[in-house]
Amino acid sequence: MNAAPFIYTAFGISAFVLIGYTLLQVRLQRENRRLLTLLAKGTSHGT
Amino acid sequence: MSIISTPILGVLLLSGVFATWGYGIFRAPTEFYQGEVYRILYLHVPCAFSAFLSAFVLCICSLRVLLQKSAASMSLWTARACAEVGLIYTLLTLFTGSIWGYPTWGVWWTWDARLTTTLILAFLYGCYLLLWNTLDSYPLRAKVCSVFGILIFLDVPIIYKSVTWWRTLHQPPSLLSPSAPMSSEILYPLVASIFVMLGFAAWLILLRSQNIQTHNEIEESLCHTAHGGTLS
Repeated sequence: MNAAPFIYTAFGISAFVLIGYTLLQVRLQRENRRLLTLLAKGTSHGT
Repeated sequence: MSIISTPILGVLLLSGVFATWGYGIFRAPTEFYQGEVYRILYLHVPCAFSAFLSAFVLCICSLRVLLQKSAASMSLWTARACAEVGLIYTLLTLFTGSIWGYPTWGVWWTWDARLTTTLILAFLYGCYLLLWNTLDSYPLRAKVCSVFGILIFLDVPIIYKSVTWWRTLHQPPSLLSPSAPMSSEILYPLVASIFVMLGFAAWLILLRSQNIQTHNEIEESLCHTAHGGTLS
């Protein structure tokens, strides 16, 4: 049995999952920091 | 932001993971009995170890939550992050094991002790996340999830010993087995791939826990401003 399709499928999908999850978390981290900055500005300019 | 959770460190660790995968796919020698398909070893085993690491950290954090009320919050966020990262790694372990199993055993799945106990670990991680989302109030959620987090770790030694306790299709532990030693060309890169993947898993856990903590801070801040009315 040719092993190449099994090997490339396993590595390819695992790489996709790990990269996807990492990018999602990095994006979430940036978004959270942006929101925190906005909130800090908002509260400091408040009454 | 902690220097450990910077994206640069993540990119470096992920590059290390891909380097070990590249060695496994293109440079590692062909195995005598299994041929080429054994190369999935460089992916499957590090994923399994990372799933175990997540369960271990989840257990430690859960114990801290139950024992030390003062250090509860960060440990709780880390425990929640461990459950999520652990679930991803457990699913990857099952997926890669299934792909390895078909050309080796002739079946995608069998109710073998090692496979079944690993599937139970995935269900336990899923149940932890369900419990977390279902329970709203802080003390109840912290207590129930922490007790459940400790229970999750109890599955890890059962998974590890399953191949010796029961008759299974899965091979017995062979990493440091004196009866069937691995070639150094296979063993050393495998150990390297395990450590690099563990480092990457730890980085993911840290990043995820910081994201959960920040998200919580934002929610608290929004609640505070909604009640105080100080947001411009």
